Amino acid sequence: MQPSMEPRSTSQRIAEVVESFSNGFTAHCYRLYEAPPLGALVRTGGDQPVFAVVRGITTLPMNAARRPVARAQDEEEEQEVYSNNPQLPHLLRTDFQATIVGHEANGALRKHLPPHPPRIHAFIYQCSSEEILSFSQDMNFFPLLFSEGGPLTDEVVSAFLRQASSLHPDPEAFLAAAGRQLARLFARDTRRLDALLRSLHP
Amino acid sequence: MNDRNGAFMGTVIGGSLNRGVEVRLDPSFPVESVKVGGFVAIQGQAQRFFGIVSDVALETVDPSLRGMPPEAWDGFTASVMSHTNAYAIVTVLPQLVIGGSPLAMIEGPQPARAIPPHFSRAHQASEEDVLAVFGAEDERHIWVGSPLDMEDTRIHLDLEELVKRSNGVFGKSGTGKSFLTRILLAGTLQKDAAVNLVFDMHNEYGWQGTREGGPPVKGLKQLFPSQVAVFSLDPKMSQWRGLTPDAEVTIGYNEIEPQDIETLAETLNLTPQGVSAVYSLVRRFGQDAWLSEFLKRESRDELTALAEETSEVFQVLFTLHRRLRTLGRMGFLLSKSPDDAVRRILDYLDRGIHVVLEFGRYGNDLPAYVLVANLLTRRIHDRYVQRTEEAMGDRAREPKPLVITVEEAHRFLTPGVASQTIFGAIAREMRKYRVTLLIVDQRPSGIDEEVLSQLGTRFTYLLDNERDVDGVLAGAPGARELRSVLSRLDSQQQALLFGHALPMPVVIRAREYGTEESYRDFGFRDAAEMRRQVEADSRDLFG
Repeated sequence: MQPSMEPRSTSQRIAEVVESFSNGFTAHCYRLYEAPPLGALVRTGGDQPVFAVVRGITTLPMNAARRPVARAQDEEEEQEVYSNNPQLPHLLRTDFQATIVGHEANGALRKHLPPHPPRIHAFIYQCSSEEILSFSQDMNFFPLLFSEGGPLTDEVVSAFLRQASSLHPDPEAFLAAAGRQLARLFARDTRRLDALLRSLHP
Repeated sequence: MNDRNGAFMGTVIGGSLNRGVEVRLDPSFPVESVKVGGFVAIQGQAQRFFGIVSDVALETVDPSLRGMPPEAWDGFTASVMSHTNAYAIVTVLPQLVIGGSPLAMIEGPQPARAIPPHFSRAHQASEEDVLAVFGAEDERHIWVGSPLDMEDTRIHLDLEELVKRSNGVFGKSGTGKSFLTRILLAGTLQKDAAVNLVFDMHNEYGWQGTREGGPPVKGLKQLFPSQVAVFSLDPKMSQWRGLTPDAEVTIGYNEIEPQDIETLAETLNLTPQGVSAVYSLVRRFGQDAWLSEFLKRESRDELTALAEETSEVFQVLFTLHRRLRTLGRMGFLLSKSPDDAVRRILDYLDRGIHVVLEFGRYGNDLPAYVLVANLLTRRIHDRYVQRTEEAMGDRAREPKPLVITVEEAHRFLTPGVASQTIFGAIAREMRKYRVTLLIVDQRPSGIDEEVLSQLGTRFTYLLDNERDVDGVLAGAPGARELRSVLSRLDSQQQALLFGHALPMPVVIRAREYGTEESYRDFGFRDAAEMRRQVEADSRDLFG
């Protein structure tokens, strides 16, 4: 059990939940291409926030029936496509998928699934440094993070740990402790463990 | 964490009573400092277990890690994987338990017939553990040394239990046998647990012992002048070494019995026919005269005549005569001894004075050593048997326990001979007649197995020879595990102790013997100190 994470006001609101499952959700970003990075820790608003780690980012047309077409044959710079077509940000959307890794209940941080996933249109905030630091004091959320499976999971975990390590006073020690947790989880899969550890400490 | 624990070593994860309990080493405990023979305490649910480390092994969770170890340069991966996927297992042989109840605490440690449950915590034994197991120094315990890696902790030996049975000090030469023997002898003296009779082959225990690469060390007579008498077979040599022996030992031909010749059979290379001819000679001339008469007959004709008289084969007598002439060259053998050496020695022993018999030059003469040790021991033993039987169980009238120290025991306790010699008999009958042996030897494999198995407590330094190791461990519980401990002792000073007088086997570094401080620990005061003490006492008395 960990104390509630204040202050919350400093974290930035970035998206809204558009699809929700027991173990994760999809959120629609307010601004095109401005999703939090892979492995970032995000949370919902409210008194009992749900914490999640970004495990995938997608950018698609708003209308699935209208596929984007190539527009920049005569342009010099990529950016000019967007400046010459100001409608584009309204026709495209950036979503991200996040895996739930914990929630807060009665003022305490719990690293297991909440009873209910976030509602549609729940606000999503990017967590502040203090929140990440506090959340990454232990690695008890690893099982939730790995439960998603999928080919990218290991990348997500290592991205999360690299980001979190830069906030810890002794990044080496933090990574070593996290590495030992991984070693326990993947004791019987040395190849995967080896790759994971290498990606933690390039 | 409990204060009485030493450093945390790890958690019990498996094992068995026979093979030992397996402890997964904690990352905080460096694998390099786990030593075979180390003393470990494991806290079970209701009892505390004590054992010794018998093996250390490196393991991996995933067998493929052996084939694909992290690259040596990748310090991070290696450091994460060591202690998690790659770890060390320490095998601890449980020896004793102490129950948690107050009653059990009073009873003290009991042999381990159970093992601690999974996930019990193992610690390096603390000083308190060592005290609980081996006891504190008191009127019957002496300090013999320290456990491995616990220089400040003392292991105490129960002398009263020790002298109840015959014991052995083994180890190849130069390992420290004589040092430990001196400690044991000085300890029995200091605590008055028994009287000692030492057959001091190399003049090491009575007056000025030698030390490899150092100044000589004090002998027992120097430490305890009023409690020790030194007898000598070679007074000239003793005087030359600066000692006036308390008595010279001479032995008359008449005192040599056929049994003595029988023990000498191997060293003198006598045939069985030769030995049986000795009995014929005794029948012919009588016990008192047989040897002098036989040695007198030097010519061929005389021997031929004697062969006819005794109906022995001439060649047998001829060979026997030639071999027994060796005895004639021993200066302490006289045709008639003016003194009864056995009675003298017994007189001293009766008064509680310990006797060291120096062999002087005869120490290198094996037949002389075997003959004298055997002859004196047999007769002293006879007296002890007689007296013990006369006492008929009346403790007060029983003679004081006697410990006879013999060196090079493999020469006269060899498998064929042991059953016939007095030493074999003493080793077997144990304390019935209150005489026990302290065998000091470097070739235990040469000693009769039956004798070895009767030894109560064994003190063994490093032994190289496989057969010697087998010999020392014969009949010891957990011999297979002790073997691995024994074969890894340092070549000096470290000894494995196990047997009757110790609650559990333990590897020790023997206590210091040879410095002024060590002498004081044994109660020795030098002249200046004695004088100061006397002056202080007289001031106290007379103001």
